[in-house]
Amino acid sequence: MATDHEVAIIGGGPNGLTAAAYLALSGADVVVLEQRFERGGTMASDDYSTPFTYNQAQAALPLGTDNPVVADLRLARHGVAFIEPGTAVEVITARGDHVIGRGGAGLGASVQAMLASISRACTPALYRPPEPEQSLLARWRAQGEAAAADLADLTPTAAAALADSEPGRLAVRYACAASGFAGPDERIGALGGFMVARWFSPVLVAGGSKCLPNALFRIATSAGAACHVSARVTQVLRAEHGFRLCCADGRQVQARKVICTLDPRTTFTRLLDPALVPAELAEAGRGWAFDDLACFTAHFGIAGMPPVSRHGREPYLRLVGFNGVAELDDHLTAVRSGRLPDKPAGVLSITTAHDPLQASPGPYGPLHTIRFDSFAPLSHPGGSWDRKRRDYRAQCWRFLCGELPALREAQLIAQFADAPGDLKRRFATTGAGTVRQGAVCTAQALTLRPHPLCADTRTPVSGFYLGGGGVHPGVPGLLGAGMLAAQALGADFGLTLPAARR
Amino acid sequence: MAAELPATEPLVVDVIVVGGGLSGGLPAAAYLQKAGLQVLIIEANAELGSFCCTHETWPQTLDSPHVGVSFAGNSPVIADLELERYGFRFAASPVVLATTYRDGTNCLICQDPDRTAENFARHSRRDGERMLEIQSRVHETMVEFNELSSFSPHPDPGKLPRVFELCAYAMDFPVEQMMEMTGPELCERTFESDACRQILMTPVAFWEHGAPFARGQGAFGTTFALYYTTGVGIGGNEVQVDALTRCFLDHGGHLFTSAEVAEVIVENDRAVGVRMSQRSMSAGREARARQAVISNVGVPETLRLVGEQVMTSADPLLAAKMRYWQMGLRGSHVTSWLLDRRLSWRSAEFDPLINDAILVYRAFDSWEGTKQYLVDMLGNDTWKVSGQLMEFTYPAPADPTSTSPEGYTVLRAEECFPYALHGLGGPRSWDGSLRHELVAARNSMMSQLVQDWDSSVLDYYDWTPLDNWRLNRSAKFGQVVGGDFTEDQWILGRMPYRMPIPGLYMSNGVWPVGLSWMAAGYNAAQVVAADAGVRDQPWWTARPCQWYEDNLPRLLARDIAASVAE
Repeated sequence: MATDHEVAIIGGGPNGLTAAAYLALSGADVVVLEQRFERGGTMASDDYSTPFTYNQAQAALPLGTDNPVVADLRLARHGVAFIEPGTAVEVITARGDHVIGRGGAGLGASVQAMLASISRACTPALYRPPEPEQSLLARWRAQGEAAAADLADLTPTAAAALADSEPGRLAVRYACAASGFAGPDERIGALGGFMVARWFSPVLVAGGSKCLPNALFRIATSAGAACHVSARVTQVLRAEHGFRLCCADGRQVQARKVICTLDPRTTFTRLLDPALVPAELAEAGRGWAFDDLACFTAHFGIAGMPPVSRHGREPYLRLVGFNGVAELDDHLTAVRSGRLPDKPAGVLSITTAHDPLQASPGPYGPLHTIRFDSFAPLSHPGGSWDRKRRDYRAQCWRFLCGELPALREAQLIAQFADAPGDLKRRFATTGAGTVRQGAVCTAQALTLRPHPLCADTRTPVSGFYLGGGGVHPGVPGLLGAGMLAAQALGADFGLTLPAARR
Repeated sequence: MAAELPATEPLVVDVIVVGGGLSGGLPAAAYLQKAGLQVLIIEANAELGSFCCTHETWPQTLDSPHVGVSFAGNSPVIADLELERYGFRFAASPVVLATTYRDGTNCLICQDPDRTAENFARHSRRDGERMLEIQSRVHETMVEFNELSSFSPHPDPGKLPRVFELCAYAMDFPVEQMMEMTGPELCERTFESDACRQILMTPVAFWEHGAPFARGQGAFGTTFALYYTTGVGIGGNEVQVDALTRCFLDHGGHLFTSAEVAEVIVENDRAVGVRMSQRSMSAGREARARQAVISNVGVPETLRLVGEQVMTSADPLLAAKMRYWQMGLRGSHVTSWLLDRRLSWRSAEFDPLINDAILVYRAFDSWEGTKQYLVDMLGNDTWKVSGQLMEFTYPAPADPTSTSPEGYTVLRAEECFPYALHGLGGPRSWDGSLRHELVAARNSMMSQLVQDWDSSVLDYYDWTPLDNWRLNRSAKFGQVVGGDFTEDQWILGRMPYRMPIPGLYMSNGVWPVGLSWMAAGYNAAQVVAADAGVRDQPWWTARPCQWYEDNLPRLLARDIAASVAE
């Protein structure tokens, strides 16, 4: 049994829901097909029925109110509010603690200037179709944002070297690794530089990350979009007036146009009828590279006061367990060669110090939600992570109590963890380890994301668009791909999309 | 158009629903929105249906810890609101509910009365014959009983005589005797074998239908359990919340989440709106309702929001009842286990159909032990009741999407305890080692009930009554069903849907028990709609259990594609 719609969107994650909202508001008849049991993709947050809210994969976003989608869709009026912690990172080492403010204050003037410059210069570029990197960098230089272009040309080592303290260098290197640049000598590029900059300017969604896709879903649904869950699309074929989408459970949907938010490898080598896929795109799909560095993510819910920074303002992240860049390098090397690191060093957030909504007020509070990320090997050397997850989580807690003795005063009430492979098992299109739908390295950024033939979301298959993390901009949390796909489709078919005055 | 919060003035709607829970707020809101009223749901948590969420706690397996199976099949809601159009997909099991015993036997109440009788007869031929007759009479009176006792507003003394008549008919006793029997007495006089008595007693032992030792009330509660249908949502029971939400939004409903209500505004003795607390995205803002404020937040919270003085001047007796409303008898302590395989009950050797069941109880070791458990619960004796009665829900036999590609499944268990923890350090002890000790005891029981239990378990999680209260501020003391079903908090003693303050309605703490069958919300909607003159709708006509009965072959078939009626 097939149902007919004007636009079918494959994937009900943040990008899919963004596209659905824009198009439904413009009057298009939209259906969203999500393979998981719930929408929202990697912006999932869940309480697991505990009094604590756990932001699973995307705990912080790179942009908040500066995201044009927020204004276009009036998300503020649908329960979306952002929190911007003033202190970004506290680096805790044996030699002392070093505080880095929002925007990189404390890293030294030149680094801070670069981070500010790339944030200014890159943001508009994320929400328009891409241009080749050299052209973009030349544009930046011409605009007076040379610092941004300089940052793009750096490697993690070179960028760290510009910081004026060892803790600062450590923080910069960690930011690079968290952005997908674990190796010290890979040029980070424009998008890489943007991600590093935004690591020092995190944005939280009040109430939990899921509030953002929830708002998108409500807008889309109220404007008439249909949204199905537990609907995994396995095949897209040509049909008389567009496409036929086949689901794993036997359902079929017919639509005139399709926006696909799955990664390029899945899209071009498994999903689309091979007869429709040009050879270059099939090859780009086969060669698509995913980040191979992943985190063990633990979530703890406690009763009792959390540690408060000795410096006064609670940082968003505490970088604990590394005494310098060398120890970080050792940790990364171990993990990337499949070994467990000496200790589960990583970054800790006390979410509720910034957003009290993410734990219940009580009774018998105060209750606090803690999130901890530590790079760990994709496969556990001793066997399956399924059998080791619980123990490693306990090891993380013991480690944290050792590094932050105040935690020992708190009562541990709730604890969950995701091992490195779990993200992929949950969200399918996130590739090997991270939430990025393909490494955002220079070989896969801008017009090379995934290929010049489809970098502006349009593909050679007429009526079939890309709209996920595997197309420009590619940085998680921006909603840019969903917006651009909706705009391209809208332009091609004469729809007027909502837009705030710019 | 989706709701937009006006810049400065209060938002004015027809109906405000405080609390978007599955049992009460959400279905009431959906009905009234579809009936043409403008409804606003205000929910304190970030998501609707906090107690009825499905989680992917462990990758690619699904767990619904507080709504393990759904009784939605009893409900007219699925048909009236066309929930299948909004993605609601349901599956049933050939076994409605089962008990499994340490002696290696089990009891099964099946969809097919002959199959039930076959199982009961293994315990006692006479019990098998009795059960066949009982279940046939229950099927015969399914729609009328559900409508009278659950899917129409109470308290309504006029319905009680007929309700007792139906109970008496189903169980084959004279009405006068039914009205004087306790639950245990009814079980003893109905069945001769311990096993069959125990399964009949099991649901009422969860204290959700009435006090087991109350005369009349106990017998009613025992019979009431036979009128349940069971099933699971495909993709987790959260699909029920989701479908209601989509229906609500599709008809133009407004929705605020992360918005906690601090006060119900009463002006000139009428409930006219609410004010948001500081713990809200829209802190301090007001919303006004022309027709109705429906409180889904339960008795103590409603009293707090309205104000004790305001309630006392409207109705001092009811206000006192609310003030002394009991909620501490049965807090839920829930455990979920991640298993590396499909589980097999040890009693499958006795009757293998139990491995197809989605709702199974560990229900005592003997009939005398059953009665003793009830006494121990009333005595607040945590350790004596531990391990005696557990409700297991297991979606794997009916919902293929809940099982991971490797074959991992999740089993969830609920055990009830008095909240107070007398002699164990008081309620704060729920945060301490006690929870782990209770789980260890549970695990040891499990290895006696399930094949290869210890080697199957990959991980587990537990939620205490205190966790539950913290998650859902309406669930005081971890009480998930709206209030203890003690002797004086039974049908006539529950909250009225229409409160003595005009404009104020309740959908929690009412009759019947708050559950996935959405009766409370359905009834609240009926009352509000009647008062607003919009009850008479061409689509608002479904009768309880009808949809389930008409669609049961499809629900049992486990053909996912066929389960989508679009």
